[in-house]
Amino acid sequence: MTRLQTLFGGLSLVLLVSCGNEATRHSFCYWQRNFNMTKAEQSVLQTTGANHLYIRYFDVDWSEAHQEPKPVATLIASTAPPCNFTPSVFITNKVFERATPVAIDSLAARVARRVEMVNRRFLELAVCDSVAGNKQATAIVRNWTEILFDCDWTAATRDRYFYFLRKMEQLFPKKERSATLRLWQFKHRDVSGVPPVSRCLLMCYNLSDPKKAMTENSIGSARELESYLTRSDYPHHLDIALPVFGWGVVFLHGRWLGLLPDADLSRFRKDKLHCKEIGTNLFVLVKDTVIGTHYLRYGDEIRIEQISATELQKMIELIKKQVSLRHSSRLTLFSLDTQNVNRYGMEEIGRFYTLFDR
Amino acid sequence: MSTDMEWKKSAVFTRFSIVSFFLSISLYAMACVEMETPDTYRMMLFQARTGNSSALQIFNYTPAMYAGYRPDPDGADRVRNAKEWQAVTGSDAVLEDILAIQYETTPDSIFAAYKKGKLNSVFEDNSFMQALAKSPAKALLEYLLFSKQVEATETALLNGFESWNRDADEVAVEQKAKQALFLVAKKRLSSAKGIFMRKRYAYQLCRLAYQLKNYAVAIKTYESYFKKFDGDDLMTVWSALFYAQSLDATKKGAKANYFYSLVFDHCDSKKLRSHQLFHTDDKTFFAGLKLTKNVHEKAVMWVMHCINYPAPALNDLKTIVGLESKSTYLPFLIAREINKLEDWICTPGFTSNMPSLSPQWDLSVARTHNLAVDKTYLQKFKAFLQKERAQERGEMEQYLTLCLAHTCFLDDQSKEGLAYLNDMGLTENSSIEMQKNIEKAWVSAKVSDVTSDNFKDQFVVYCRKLQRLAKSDNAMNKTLYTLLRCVAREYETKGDFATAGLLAMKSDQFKQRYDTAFYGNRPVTLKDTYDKIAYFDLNAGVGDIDHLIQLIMKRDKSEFEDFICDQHLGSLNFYRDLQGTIAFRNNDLKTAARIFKSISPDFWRSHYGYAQCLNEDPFQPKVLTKKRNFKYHFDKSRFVRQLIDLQDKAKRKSGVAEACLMLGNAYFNCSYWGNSWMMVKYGWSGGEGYRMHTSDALGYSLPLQLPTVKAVLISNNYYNCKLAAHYYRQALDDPKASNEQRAFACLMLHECHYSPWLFDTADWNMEKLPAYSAQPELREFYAKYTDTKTYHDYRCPLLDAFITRK
Repeated sequence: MTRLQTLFGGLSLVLLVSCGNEATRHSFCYWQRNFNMTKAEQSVLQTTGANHLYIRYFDVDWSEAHQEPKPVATLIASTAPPCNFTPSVFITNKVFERATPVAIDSLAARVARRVEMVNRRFLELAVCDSVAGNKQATAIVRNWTEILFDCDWTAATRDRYFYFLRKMEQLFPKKERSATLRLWQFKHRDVSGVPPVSRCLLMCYNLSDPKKAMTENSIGSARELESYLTRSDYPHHLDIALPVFGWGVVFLHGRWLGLLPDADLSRFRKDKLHCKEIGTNLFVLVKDTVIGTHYLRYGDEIRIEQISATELQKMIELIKKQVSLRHSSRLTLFSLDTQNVNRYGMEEIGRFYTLFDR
Repeated sequence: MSTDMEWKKSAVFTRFSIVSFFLSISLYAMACVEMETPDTYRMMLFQARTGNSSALQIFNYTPAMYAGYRPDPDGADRVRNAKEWQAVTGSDAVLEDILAIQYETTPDSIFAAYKKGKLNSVFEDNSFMQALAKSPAKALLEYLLFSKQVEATETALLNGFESWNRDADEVAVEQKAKQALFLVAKKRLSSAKGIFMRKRYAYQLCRLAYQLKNYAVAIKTYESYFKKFDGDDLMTVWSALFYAQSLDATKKGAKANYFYSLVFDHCDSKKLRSHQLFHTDDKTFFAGLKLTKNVHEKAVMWVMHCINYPAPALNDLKTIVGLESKSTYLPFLIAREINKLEDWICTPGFTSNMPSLSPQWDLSVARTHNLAVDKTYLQKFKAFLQKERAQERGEMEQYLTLCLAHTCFLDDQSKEGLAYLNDMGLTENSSIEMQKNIEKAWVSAKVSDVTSDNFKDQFVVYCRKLQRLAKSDNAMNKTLYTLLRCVAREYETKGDFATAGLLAMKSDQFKQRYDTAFYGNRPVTLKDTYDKIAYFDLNAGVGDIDHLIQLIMKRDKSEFEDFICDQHLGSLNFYRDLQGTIAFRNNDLKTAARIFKSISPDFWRSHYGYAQCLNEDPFQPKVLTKKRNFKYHFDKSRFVRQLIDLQDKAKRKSGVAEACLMLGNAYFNCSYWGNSWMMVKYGWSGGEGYRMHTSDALGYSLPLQLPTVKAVLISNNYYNCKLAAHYYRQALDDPKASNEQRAFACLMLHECHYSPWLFDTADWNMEKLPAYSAQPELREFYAKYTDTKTYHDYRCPLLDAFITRK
């Protein structure tokens, strides 16, 4: 049983987080394949004061076999969203490298249709909740106001991507459209262009390459973030996404092997049987070890990457100082996951939101 | 198998998986160099197998990619199924036609023909369909159509891509279709006549019930219709997989494990799936083991326990042998263990040249430690092989002898290994025969003079033969990669870096071919790219390049020379440029000048990245340049001649300041900090020398085996400006030097000290840089030369701060 479950397993109430008219400034990203909100997760929302979710609906990737964009990993909706939410669609840059304008017209229509389909499924579930006594359930699903598109577009694909975004404006005329904005796109807007949407979600993480040996923390730091925030203004309303995830980067004989999701610094420090800390967040294995189908050897190195609460607070302060935010700007944390919440504790996460509000 | 080795017991362990798209790191991933996976750079020579092990290939230590995986590689299950159909339709239906309808005809095309009543005409050439269209076979046709309907519900999520035309909740759509089919299966099963039809509908019901999470029905159906597990009956085996999964879903993991092992053992197409579902945790595994009915079943469970295990598995192998000495899985498992040992012992020694992440950690200590551990394990494994061999006869004895020979060679016991090889005698197994030849080539490289014509002739014959085999068996590319890398090492030990380099480059070609089979073709460029000189840049001397050029240009090449030169090489001028660069690094300017003179200046304007990186005045120190001019026509030959002239002038007893300052500037610019670094290196990167301490001569791009003298030269002059500082010092000490010249020398001596210090000390995430305290030259600059132009031009607050700091 996880710590979260232990703490909140006793709560039997169906917790509903504030929704409707209240400002939705405190948010989490929900990026799992199956939307199945546990009571523990609902408790996280309530305890931390989070009142909004970005929910990944599906991805779109280019299928070489079909020579057209295809949907991937559409959300399996098992429970209705408990609070206001923004449907989110990730589209690989490859799609815009390969698709013709005609194909993009068709893609836009298909994406819109698929978003509506997931919404219908949510509504079915919300109706059931409503019958069971949850009066706000259907209103939450019906009253979504914004849709997010996530694509790491480049100068080469920006025209096609922006064309797609304009098409989405026609297909969702009554909704706000937002787009994710990488830091390089924020800094070098002359190269990347400014997407034709009403608001952007500035993704303040993944600042360097984890595969490189000299990288200390590829997820980011306040210092590195500062180097991107050279201008405060941006033509659109900005929301902010910050990382609460962590991972281990494994190097086999000095070569990059892969990422260990969910790796946690404190647990590595405790595990003296297998690891020895040889530098800041850097561990060397002192015992041959099997992970999955990999045999890691004595001497292989693991760099634990996560951002401390203090560093995250610095990042929030920095963003507030360097970026022009509006009263309704939102802070979203990537992502809602038991491990990530446990890494900081709910009180600390609540403090991130409070600091952002101040 | 040591259980404490499993990290799953540890608090920190988790799993490898692909991170979410939202965590996309593509921006950086695109910018960085291509990363090889262990599957690519691993060394592997042992490929021999006995019996038919193609269905186990997915469990190879270096396996084929899942995307290219064929679950039933020899079509064994398909043929079994077709034969069962043939038994009920009669021999008029030929096997090929049954296979064509069952496995090559889409459900849509059959339904379309059926709905129009045109099955007979559309499939008039198919004897199976003709047999089914006859009225006595109506029930069979009905079942075939039903099974095709079930098949149609399983294609939506192929390759991870979904369809736009279906409801977004594809699972829900599929569930509805399956639910309808489930009811049909249930109804038809109750009225089905004959064992053939009953088993098939029972199988479909098991499958649909499991997929609909109706586990009780799946379990009940299996237990009713397949009471006794019959491994020869395909429907029993296939149904058992859904039965086992249903047991698993209802918390009966041990029993499920047992049935997974039965499925694994009795059909090819479900081997991977049953293994993926198999539990290896001690509690479930041993509980499942208790359910086995005989030693064979026990042995199979142990096979599943270790067949995909990446660490030493000798204990499991011993257990399997103890249970069933003639286990058909044993040769495969032994080969897999040999491949592990090859990887652990050979791969780090031949391919690892990466430094550790932390300067506090020396990877060579780990390599030594691991090698000792692996050699000890090798001895234990050899003893196991010897014991097994003593009890075997025939092909298995030959196979084990071959394994022993290979392990001896791994252990550098060539004489003992050769004795085993000679002991093998003739074999009819082509895989063993081929491996025997590979072993001969390998040991020949170890024991004979690789430079002898005899070796070379034999070696080429082996390689050409392997190349031919590689056309149909991609794994042979891996063998060639490994073999060539081993022979390249032998040439290195003899000091022939020209041949070693060509062999190493050629081995990379095979490594890439092996990879290409999985990742697609990589572009081949005829341009002068760094990979064409990389080996020689890191390993060769001036004489080696002469030898290399001679080899490339030789008209009547021997078979061996022809083989190693048959690859995409750089232009001769590119190699000459490298040769001149090596001489320049060694500060042998006369040799460098002679070599550069043989290259047309046009070369540096049109090849590689010279025009972009060597385009500034090398006598104007970059660090003092306020406005850079990139229009300078750099000619390496002219530049080196200028240096020689200046060095001649600098040899005088006095009046040398001007020449020495010019030399200092030139060498400063030929450092990492200057504008002409490409005189020394072929790439400039801020990260390259990261964490490289002044005492650490090795940069990130340099291999560990790099001769220390060369590394020190690079470190001294390229990163630490020793030569530049020498000439600035000489200028400062010249009694005839003017105050202006002395001021300039002092300032540049400061730069020669400060830049490496900063590089070595500063860290990107430091809140505050450590304090730098001025060296005597900078203090002299401030104390004595305040009235010089140099002082007025270059004095700045930063330098002021260094001075004020004690």
